[in-house]
Amino acid sequence: MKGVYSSPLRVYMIMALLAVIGIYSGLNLPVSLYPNSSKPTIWCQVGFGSLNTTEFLDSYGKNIEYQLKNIENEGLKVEKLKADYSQTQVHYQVEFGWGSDPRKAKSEVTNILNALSASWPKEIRDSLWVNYWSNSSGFVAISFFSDKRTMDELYDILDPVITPKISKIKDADEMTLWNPNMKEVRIILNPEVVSSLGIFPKHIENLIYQSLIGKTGGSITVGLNSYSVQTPRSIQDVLDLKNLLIPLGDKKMIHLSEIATIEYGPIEEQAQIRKTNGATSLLLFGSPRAGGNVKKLAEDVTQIVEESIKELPADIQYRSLVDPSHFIRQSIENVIHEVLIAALLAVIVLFLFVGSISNTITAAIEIPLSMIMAFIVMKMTGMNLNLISLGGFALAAGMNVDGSIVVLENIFRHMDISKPKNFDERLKVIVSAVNEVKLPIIASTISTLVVFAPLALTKDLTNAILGDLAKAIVFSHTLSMIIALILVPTIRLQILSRKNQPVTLPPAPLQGVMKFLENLQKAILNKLISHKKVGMSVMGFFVVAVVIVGVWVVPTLRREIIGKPDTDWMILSLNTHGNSMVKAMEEITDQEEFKLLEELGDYISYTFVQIRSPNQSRIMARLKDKSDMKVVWEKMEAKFQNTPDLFFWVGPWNPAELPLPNPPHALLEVKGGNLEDQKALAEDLIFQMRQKDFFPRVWSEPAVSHNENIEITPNQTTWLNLSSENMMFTFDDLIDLSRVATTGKKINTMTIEGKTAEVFLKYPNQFFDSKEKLEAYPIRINEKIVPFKALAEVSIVNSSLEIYREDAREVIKVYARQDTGKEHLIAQSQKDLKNFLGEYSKQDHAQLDLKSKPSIVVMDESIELTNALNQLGLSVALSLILIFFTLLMQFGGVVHSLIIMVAIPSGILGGCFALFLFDSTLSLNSVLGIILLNGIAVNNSIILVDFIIKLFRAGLSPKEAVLVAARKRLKPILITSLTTILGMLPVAIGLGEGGKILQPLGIAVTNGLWVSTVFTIFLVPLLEYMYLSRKVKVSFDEKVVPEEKESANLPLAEVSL
Amino acid sequence: MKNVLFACCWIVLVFRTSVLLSNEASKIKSVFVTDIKKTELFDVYSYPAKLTSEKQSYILAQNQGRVEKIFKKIGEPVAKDEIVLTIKHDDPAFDYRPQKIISPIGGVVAASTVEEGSKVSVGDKLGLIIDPSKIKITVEITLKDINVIKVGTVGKLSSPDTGLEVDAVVTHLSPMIDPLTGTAAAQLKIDRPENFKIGTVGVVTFKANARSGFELPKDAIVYLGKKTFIRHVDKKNIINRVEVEIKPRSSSAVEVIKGVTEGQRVVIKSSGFLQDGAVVKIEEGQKEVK
Repeated sequence: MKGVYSSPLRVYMIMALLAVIGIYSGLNLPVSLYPNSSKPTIWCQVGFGSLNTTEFLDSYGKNIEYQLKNIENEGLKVEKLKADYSQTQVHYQVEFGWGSDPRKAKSEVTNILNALSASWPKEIRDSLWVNYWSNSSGFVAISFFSDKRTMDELYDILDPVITPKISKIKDADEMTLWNPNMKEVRIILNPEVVSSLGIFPKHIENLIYQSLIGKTGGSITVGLNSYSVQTPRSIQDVLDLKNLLIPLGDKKMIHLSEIATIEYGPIEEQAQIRKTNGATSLLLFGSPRAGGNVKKLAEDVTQIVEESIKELPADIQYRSLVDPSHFIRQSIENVIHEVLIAALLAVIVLFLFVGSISNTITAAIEIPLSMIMAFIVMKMTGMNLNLISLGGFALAAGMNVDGSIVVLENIFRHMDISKPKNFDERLKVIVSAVNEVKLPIIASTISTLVVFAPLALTKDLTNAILGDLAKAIVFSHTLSMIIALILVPTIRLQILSRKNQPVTLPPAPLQGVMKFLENLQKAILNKLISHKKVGMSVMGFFVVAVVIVGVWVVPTLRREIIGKPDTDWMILSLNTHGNSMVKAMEEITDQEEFKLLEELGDYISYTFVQIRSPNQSRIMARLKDKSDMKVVWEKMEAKFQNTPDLFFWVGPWNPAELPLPNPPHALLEVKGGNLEDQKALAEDLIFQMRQKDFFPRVWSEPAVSHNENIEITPNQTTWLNLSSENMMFTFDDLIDLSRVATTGKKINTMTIEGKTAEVFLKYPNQFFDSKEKLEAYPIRINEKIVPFKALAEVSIVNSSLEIYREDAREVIKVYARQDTGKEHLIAQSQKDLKNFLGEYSKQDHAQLDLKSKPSIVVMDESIELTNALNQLGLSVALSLILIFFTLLMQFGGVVHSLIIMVAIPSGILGGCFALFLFDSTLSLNSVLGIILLNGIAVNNSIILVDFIIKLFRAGLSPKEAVLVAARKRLKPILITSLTTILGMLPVAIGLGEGGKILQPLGIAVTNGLWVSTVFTIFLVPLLEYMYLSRKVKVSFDEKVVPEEKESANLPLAEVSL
Repeated sequence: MKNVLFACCWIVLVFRTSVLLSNEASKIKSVFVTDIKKTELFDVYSYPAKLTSEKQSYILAQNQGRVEKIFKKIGEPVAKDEIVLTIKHDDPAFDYRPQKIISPIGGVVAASTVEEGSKVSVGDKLGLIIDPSKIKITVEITLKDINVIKVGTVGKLSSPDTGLEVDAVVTHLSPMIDPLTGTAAAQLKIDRPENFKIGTVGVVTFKANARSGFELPKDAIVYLGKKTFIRHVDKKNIINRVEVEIKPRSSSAVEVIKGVTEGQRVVIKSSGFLQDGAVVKIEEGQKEVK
């Protein structure tokens, strides 16, 4: 140590080098909103082709589920597999665990399904679709518009300029220029003509399909040349299609244009309309690749667009609709401000207590240095700068300065006692001073860090969210310890080596206040010690308070995983039913958008409308001022009330949210008995739940409500007779006709004017708009025209063909949810539901006519949150045990260790009560805050108890030891606590972008800490007094005081009152 | 001081009540309703109707050879026994004399399958002569409906291209079910056949089993297990769930057999789930579905 302190240049150079590397690392750390954590879900869709639900499930579905569920490859593991079988297709959701690489997950699922699909019929194979969507990555959306050009013209201009550039963006996964006016070729059959000619869609489809593909006829090698034999496609454009010859019976042919209308135009039924402020627009949309940085992506895209727009005509404009980088930048800046304010407040507190600028700076240098050096470790461990890790720095800002304070103070104390005259003596004093506090500093740092050690053992959600916070604190706090023990004494020695430097600490600005507080503390402590009843009352109050908070307050706290950031986007979703045309939905949406702007136009900067289907649309409104969110939300909810024809959903939207589980507020499973009875019971249960109005939204998977289908059953006798007549069509052709006439069918694609267009075969819109029309459809058999119903019975049947499976097991689940913004009603609703279920389960349900005995089981709806909090709880317990053993090793006595730990329940008391008072939440952040303040609170106790023991061993009576130690240690305790409390204050207030995310952490820490500080400076000395008095009494009786002999060596000057 | 406190309490009470009331008001759901009326109900049976000429005949080749001359082209009137075309025999024994092909009936040339110079064989169809004034409407009745649609049953024939609708009465019904199609042929008669084109396929709709009853849209029915209900709205706009017995009528409507009375107001659609005893707001004007 001597060598280190006496070579200041070496120390400064090393620190400077580390600082430079730290700054460089910090500037190159990726910046994102949340930690690098994802829990990917891969979505798959497969159509049934001509099979029904049960047939598909048995033939292919179960095997698909087995293969997907058992994925265990390259660190991937499937947590849950959901399969939703509807009447015509199945949707699979493959949920992987936290930390799984989304790209690998998607690739694995795609490979498996592609391998399986090789044995599927073509129609099923062609319907396969796999994709990945995660909310964590956010997305970028920029719209282009022009009032002079059509969408197609705009696309033709933009595509060659922008697409090549955006395809090179490193962080992009899918970056596309969406043209809502993509064209298709529609072949609309004339029903009367085709039926009178006896033609079926299948015949036409096969013919067109063959004509759209080129064929190869091998190759011929002549000498050195090889010639491949090819047939070009016979249909190159729409005219060729119109002239395609369709063979009829009796050797006649007819042109396709004579039996169908052929159109080439914008996609009709799948058209998606997007508008910005009422004008249709082209959309540049993209999301980051797995692990990609959405902020970088957004910045790169914006830069490309800004550069490209200069090359384009002036009428083409763009608007950045969703730019996460803006929000992220502001959020990060906000938290950095909070860190700086925290640091500044810590420095101010230091100055007020310590006095002298040079001393303040000497101690305060630790704050920025420890953080800068922590960047090096963050870079090495692959972390990024995000709200969570920066929140850790804000927390650590106040804590990191503690070591320096203790070292500095002790140096001055020793200087004052020893009064060194030369460099060597000063060096000796400083070494001695540092050695004295070295172990307590290391112990207190370890005890702070030890609380985080168990967090490393948590997994999944907990680790994903808190890991970065814990790491940021651990790294910076460990480095602060090193700085305190190496740099601070070095600087102090150098300063003291200058002439006329004071060897005692100058009077601090708050010296008078300090004096007053010390006297007040002494008076109160004296009273507590002297009057046993008062002391016992205080302890009793403490115990009662802890019990009340633990039993009554904590259970009422709202739980959430992590706070959500404020946003300036509101969404108004519209849902209707019965429309078959997107244009119809556009009209409805325009009307509602008009109403929205009429009412709330002053609050709204611009609107973005997405009409995705004939019965669904979304109006997104960007607010001018985020603080208007609550007002706008309330007004929108009041204005847009459901009507029988139109349903609304109003809520905020943040494009940069963490992919947190969003469980329902109630989850029930119907088990046992047969499937039909389960569905009947579930249907009745849902009805009763809606009747009682526990939750506004109640639904089930699968849907168990009444459902009807049209069933077509062939007349077997007729078909038998027909087959002997060599008819040109089969029953499958009839079903195919029904499909083409109702939903249309994609045949293939063709290239027209350099653009790919899909080719659809269909009937006129809404041709079969009822069962009766299907029944009456004319079918030609020889010279007769018979109705469809002559060949097949058409009937409406009750059916619930939907099957829902989780992890290869058929389940029926009932979900319930409260509306966003009404979370305060959830607890009561859950209680009422539970009471109701108790009664409901006892009923015999005779009216349902059940043949078996299904039952209803209440599931833990927020199991992931419960698990996360349980894991945290386990971490807390583990950390307490570790703290206890650390204390035991340091102090060697169980009682002393337990007394020190009294600070912990007092901190929890303060933290939880504050969360209740400020209507905050019990979230992973706030629980972590409570864990952290345990460490800080215990440090304060350690400082106190350590000195009490030393004084007691030096020969003071328990009362004297307690009073002296409490007074002497009040200042360092207050400095430590105040720097952390004030440091966390900006976080607790939760101002600015992203403030809400860390607010519970701030509230828990600031309030928990001041409560535990108050209890520490009174309750801990009181308990020590009681214990030491009893020990003295016992040893007086036994006439042996062994500890006192050892402590007699301490100079008494140190312990003056 | 006491008075101030008292006043404060009143203000709080009034405010709280108004908040509660406004909350209650905002929770009221809106509905579309219909008043139940007894109407004449029918079972509807729809069929495609083949429109041909009552009088039509193919002209067949009497000999093999080549078509020498066509005298009557498509659309031209032709009298009975009038020459339509001639075929020149290619058999030397007939000394290359052209065979005259005459029309067996008077009418109009509806189709011609040959050109001048075409080679034909004996029995080949050369053309079709129809009498456009005598329209024949044929409908194939399924076995299931054979007891409902009888001779004398009146239906409506609609034209696919003009949309015109006229009364059509069944004049003949085959006693035989064609085993190939499972149908029996029925012929219909209409008053103004000139409005319909021969060769097209129209749609005939029969209404049978006329009776008086209640019809409701399917949207009005609430299904719960095996039971069916309607939501009745009383004069105070309070909902009351009433069990009914229904019979399907079409894809969009049901016939209510039991459980309703004339004049009852019934909910067709609502803005959300309606609890028994809930107060609702009646909306005017159901939006048109496109």
